[in-house]
Parts: sequence; C-alpha cells; structure tokens
Amino acid sequence: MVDSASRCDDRGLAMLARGSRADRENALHALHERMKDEVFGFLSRLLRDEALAEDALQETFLNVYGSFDRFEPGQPFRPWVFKIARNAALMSLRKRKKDERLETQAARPDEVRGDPSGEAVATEARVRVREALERLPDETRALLLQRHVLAMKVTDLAESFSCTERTVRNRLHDAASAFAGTLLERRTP
Amino acid sequence: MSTSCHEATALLLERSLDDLADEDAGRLDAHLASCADCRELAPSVDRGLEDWATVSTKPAPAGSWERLRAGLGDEAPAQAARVVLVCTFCHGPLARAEAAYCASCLAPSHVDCFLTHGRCPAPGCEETEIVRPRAPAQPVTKRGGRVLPALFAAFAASAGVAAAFTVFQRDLRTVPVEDTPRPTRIPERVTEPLPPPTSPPPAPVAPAPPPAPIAPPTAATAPAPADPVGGLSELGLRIQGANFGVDRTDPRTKPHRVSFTADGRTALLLREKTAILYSVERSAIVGTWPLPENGVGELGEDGSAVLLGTEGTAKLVPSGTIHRLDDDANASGMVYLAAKRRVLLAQMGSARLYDLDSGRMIDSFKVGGRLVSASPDGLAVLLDPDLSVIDIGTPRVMPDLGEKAEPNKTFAETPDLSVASSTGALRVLTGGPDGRLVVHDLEARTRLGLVGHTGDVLGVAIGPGGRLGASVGLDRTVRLWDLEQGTALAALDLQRVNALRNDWPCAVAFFAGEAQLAVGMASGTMLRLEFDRPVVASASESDERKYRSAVRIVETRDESRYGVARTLLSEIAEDSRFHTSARRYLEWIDLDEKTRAARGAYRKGDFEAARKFFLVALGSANLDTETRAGLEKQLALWERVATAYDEGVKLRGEDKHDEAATAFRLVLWLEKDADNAYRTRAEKALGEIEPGRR
Repeated sequence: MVDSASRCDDRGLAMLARGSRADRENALHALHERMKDEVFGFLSRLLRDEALAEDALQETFLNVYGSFDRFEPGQPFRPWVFKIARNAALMSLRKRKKDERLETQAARPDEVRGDPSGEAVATEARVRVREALERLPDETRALLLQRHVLAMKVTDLAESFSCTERTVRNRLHDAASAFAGTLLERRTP
Repeated sequence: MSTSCHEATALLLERSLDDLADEDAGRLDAHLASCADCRELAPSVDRGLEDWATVSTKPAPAGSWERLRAGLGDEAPAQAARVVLVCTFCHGPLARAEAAYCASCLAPSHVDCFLTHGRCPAPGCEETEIVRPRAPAQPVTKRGGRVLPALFAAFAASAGVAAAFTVFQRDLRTVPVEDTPRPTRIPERVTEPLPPPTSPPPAPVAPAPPPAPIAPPTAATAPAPADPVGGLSELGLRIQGANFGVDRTDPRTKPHRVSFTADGRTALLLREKTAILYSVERSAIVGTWPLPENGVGELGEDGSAVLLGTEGTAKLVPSGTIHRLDDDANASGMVYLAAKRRVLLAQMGSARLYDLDSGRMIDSFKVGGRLVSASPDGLAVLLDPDLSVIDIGTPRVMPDLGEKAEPNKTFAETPDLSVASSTGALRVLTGGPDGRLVVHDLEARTRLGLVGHTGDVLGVAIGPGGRLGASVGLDRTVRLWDLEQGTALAALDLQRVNALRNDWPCAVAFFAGEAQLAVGMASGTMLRLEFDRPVVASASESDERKYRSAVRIVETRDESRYGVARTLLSEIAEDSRFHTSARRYLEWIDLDEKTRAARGAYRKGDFEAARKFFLVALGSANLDTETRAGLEKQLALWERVATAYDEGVKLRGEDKHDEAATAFRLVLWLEKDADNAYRTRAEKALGEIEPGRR
C-alpha cells in the first residue's frame, strides 16, 4: 500500500488523505518520502540550525497530517506543505527569540568556500551579499528561499502565502529593496 | 549612495531571481554603464545569492519517518468539521452553487423554496429578500463524498442546526476576502400577501442566543423588534445594540472617532465639538462634555479620560477637574496613564511626558509619533516614521523594542494601532490602508501580515492574553485573528445587518476578557458581539447533545416540552462552552412563559393579570435594553387599549353614546386585525350603539 501510495500523484494522495487512518498514514509516508529532503533543506536554511530544523520537520509533517482535511483536492501539495513548513519555522524562531544563538549565528555567516582565484575584493563582496541576505527578516528570507532555492513559480508562491500573484510580486520587490538597503548600509563607511 | 544605486542593487537581485521586468532591465543596464561601483557589485550579487542558496544542503536525517510515526500515536487526528448545506424550508440537501441565503440572517435555502414561502422562517427574522454569491461556489460534495451520508444522517434530525452551522462555519474559514464570493441581491420581490411559514424555524448553532423573547400580538400594532439584528444569532454571534440618538441614516451626520479602554468597558466618542464617555458595561452614557476646537481626547486605563484643549488645558472627565500642562504645542496623539497620572503628548519628531497634577514636563524624547497607544503596564508605542517604544513609568526610550521602518516605507499611513504586553510578548498590531494589517512581535523582531480586509483597517485590538487580535475596517467587517499563527479565526460582515448598512465600524476592543468584542460604529452606535471560540473552548459530547436537544425545543417554541429543555440546560457543566448560552436559554424560557401567560390573560380581557405577569417578567429577567424597551412598549399599548375600553363602558353607562363610540372605535383601531376579548367586546358595544355598523 505504501508503495502504491508513493506512486500516487497529488490528486491520488489527496483522496488517500481523506480515507481511513491507515490511508492517511500511507499518504503521509508517501509525502514524507517525497519531500523530506527538500523541506529539511528549506528549514535548515531558514532556521540556520539543524537540530531546530529536524524538530521543525517533524512539526511540519505532523501538522500536514492533522490538516489533511483542510487540503483542497485539485491543488498541488508542494506549496501547501511549504506553507506549513514556513509557519512551523517562523513559530520555532519566535519561540527561541530570547536565545542569543540566533543573533550570533546571523552575525557569523557560513564558512566562505575556497576562492581559487584569490580575488579578495570579489570574495568580500560575495560575503557582504550573503550577509545582507542573512540579515533580512525571516519572512522575507523564507520568500526568497522559496523563490530562488525551491524555484517555486509565482503562482505556487501565491498559493503558499495565501495571497494573490500581484501581492507576491510586490513582496518580492519589497524584499529586493530591503536587500539593497541592507547591503548599501553596510557598504557605506 | 544615490537613490539610483539603491534601486539598481534591488534590480540586480530581481535579475538574479529571474523576476526583472523588461523595462527595469533597460534601466539597470543604463545605470550599470554609468556606475562603476554597481558594475563591480553585479557579479557578486549573482554569486552571493548562489552561495547563500547552496550552503547546508544535507538530506533529512535518517529515522525521521520513524520519529514522525511515533509522534502520530494511536490517537485519531482531529478532523475538521465538514460543511453540509441543508435547505431551511424543505430540509433537503443543497449544493452551494444552488444555495440562496436570507438577506438578514443568511439561512440557506433553495431559491424556489424561498419564493414559495416568501419570507425567512427564522424566529424574529421574516426577511423577504434573499442574496446569492456572485461566483458559483465549489460544490460541497467535492470535499468528501464518503462522509456525506453519515453527516446527513447526523444532521437529519436537526436540519436547521446544520443550516445555521454551515453559515457559522463559513465565516470561520481562513480564506482571503478576495477569494470569497460576494453576495449579490436578487431582484425578485414577493409582492402578494404571503402565507405564514409552514416549516419549523431553524435552530441557531451553539451557543446561539435565544430568539426575540416576545412575539407581538398583531402585525399592525407590533412594537419595534426587541433585537433588530437578531438574525445574526445564526452566526453564533449576538449583537446587543445600544444607540444614543444619533441619526445613523442622515448622511450629514459627521462620523465619530471612537476609542476604548484596554478592557473594553468604557468608550470615548469624539464628534465635532462634543466628547461622550460611554459605559459599554452598563450600556449607558456616563457624561457629555464640550470638546475644544482641535482638541484631543484620550481614555485612561481606569475609564477616565483627558480632554486636551488649547494652551495646555487638560480636563479630566468624568471628575471634571482641570489641569494645566506646561505645553502650548498642538499634540497629534496622546496617551493617558491614569495609574501614574501621566500624559504623553506626541507630535512629529518629539514626544513629551507630563505629570498631570503638577503640569510639569517630566521628560522629552526625540522620537516621532503621529499616533500613540499604550499597554496596561505603561509601554507607549509611537509611530511615524519608525516604531518607537517608551516606558512611561521609568521613563525612557527602549531602543531594543523599536523597529526601524523599511526603506521607502514609513508607518505614516497607519490609522490605528494597539499594543499588548500582558503575556510578556510585546506585540503591536497596526492597521493600514487597503487592508494592510501587520502584527509586529517586538521582542522576536518578526512581523506577520494578516490577510483578510479588503478596505482600510480603521481599528484594531489585542486581547488580554496577547494571542487574540481583532480588527475592523472600511469593508465593514469585524475580524478575529490568532496573532501567533497569523490566521483568521472568524469574521462578521456587518453589511448583512439591515440596521447597519449605512454605517461602518471604526473601533474595536475586547470586552469581558476575551469573551466579547465591543465595536464602535462611525454613527455612534455601540455594539457588543458575543462569539463562540471553538479554538479555545471545549465541551463534552453529552453537553453538546443536551444543549442541541434543548435548543431544538426552545426554537420550535414547544411550550409543552419546556420542562424537558429546562432540565437539559440545567445539567450542562459550568466549564462547558455551552454553559453561558444554556443559562441564557433558561432565562429566555422563563421570560417566554411569563410573556405567554401575559398574552393569554390579555387575550381573555384581563389586563390587570396580564400587567402583573409582565411586571414580573420585566423585574426578574436579565433583559437587554432593547428587549426591555419592546416589552415596555407592548405593555403601554395594552394599557392604552384597556383604558380606552373601560372609558367607553363608563361613558356608555352615563348615556354619552357618541363619546363612548369614539372610545370603542379607538380600541378597534389599536387592535386592528387582533383577536382578543377587548376587540370582540368593543365591536359588540359599538354594534349596540350604532346598529347600522354591524
């Protein structure tokens, strides 16, 4: 049954998700197998903490399981699952708001990979770009991650953020503007 | 750095995201050709974005499914309630696409059924118009055919409950408003006299309030309905209206500015040159005072208010004491902290804190502030251009809690805001134009957009717990939010209420903890909304069963089974979410029995007995203002009839037949179309005086 569930398309999974408890678990298993790596990658980037990301992954799929009834058949699963994952991550960030780890990790960017050309200036500029991206608000980072890393279309983003495509475009524009502000602020001596 | 460099950097990121529009690409190229800095930066944006995207791409840890499976446990997951529409008239299944709704109470029905019966059968409604969604709604059967038969069986016994439940559930959906089909009016009107509704009226959803407690004896002489918006009981919401004489239909009436205390008990209404202090708790005006020109008024947390005039004159109401502040500038916003007797005045670019008693300035702050709001523990929030927080008690600016405005954006357009810190999490809810509603978590430094309003947001409130939020706006909706999750919990469209169609809400506050909402309308009308919160409250199955059975009895007005209903309602546990409604239904049964007895006595021509029953009802029941007014009006009418009849009998005994005939004719006019002893006796007497008449 799990094998057949894993071969289901979104519509089939949606039907399964409305069935008996066993059917629902099979649907969840299939979804988990299909999306766990992608969701975990998204959560790790957003949370910058693998332990937290692992917890958020569990939280995400538990919420998916609990919300199967609210899923509209005919809609793609991916934006919906990422919406739940994003909310779980933002909740997790809020819960540890007093934890200093976040700030220290935000201030300390991930290790810069080797730059064989040795162009120190270019590398510094890249680091600044990454720092500027890291300093964006969590919601904005989630949007950029979903757009760039997960390569989600604007239609899917609108589905995932429960808003219109025009709103998504406006938010992307705002995100770019915020990025520019942060980058140039740090560039100005 | 020039503005064009800022724009160009933003466009560089958009280009990397493949979101760059053609016209922007041209602008970007032109700028890169002329700016060496940005040209140098361009490849770094691409690579930096790639670096950012490619870090830590580990797969999910092994064993995550096993952990997840263990987390599921053996407990069945909570299933969301499914929505099933049932026609209020024929009780048959109803596809959403075919459904029409009562224009007042939104009870669903087939169009044919409604046009056949002509009016809504809900108690106290009798609306003769229906509305339909503009766009065809998704058929319910698509959501899960498997459970449909079972649900029909479950709801078959109480089709009305299912219908009402549907309406209520529809409002709890968390869909954005732009996706919600707007109702449109159907032009057909029934013009011929209509037969009375033949099917039993639908019962409201738990915990719905009881219907209007008294039915008028005749259509022609009926007093105004006790609850003009009683149809909303179908939504699980009850509005207790209280209007203090403002003509809400007059378009020349200038709108009020309304504000509430944090606990929602008191409201301050400012209009032109008048300030009104209104007790929401008692539904009564505390007092009215003249407001100086360009004056500002603000409520303190204890329900008193400061009215600030020119030259620093501050009048404290209702006590009436006048203080003079050492300040002659015109403040654009004010916070009054009654516990510390301090007033914070805000103006563009500065805020000044005064001691109310001495009038001296305690401190001044170089932070902007077009608007201010304060939490109960004295944290004031100022807006425009940035969001700043001042601790009035200390006093000092708290830079850690402030929030810098985004580039090219300020908080200048924010019309209202609210702040809460009761749970330790300092949240600010800001409403803005075009439905912008944002919850700022000042400690976590996060902000969450709340999607729902389609017009300017005019008033916001945060519940004492810090988790629930409420907002009202120009789209004439009242919305309830979960601020932690950023989700909509409930919405109420006030346009559905006939009496409020020319009005709009401009302020909101939580009242009675988080059990009610107080809403201030621009006309000055104050509303109290009681709502059901299934997300928080709980009830055992047996309580719910008892409640629904009792409600069915009450709604069908089956007097012979009132005893059963009374027993069922009194058995509902105190901690159940149905307890409050059950108590209200019990009161309503008492009231209904007394008013029935009164009507019976009056019908038999015994006004004195009827009056006694009515006085007991008026004295014992916990009546709201409008119901009481309806009962008093009814009693006055009966008294007028009885007096006129007695006068006629007396005059007839004195052989003053002309005067006696006039008195009897007055009785007939007052009791037109009625069937009671007074009318019968008056007709008989008049026939004897004027034989030709009969």
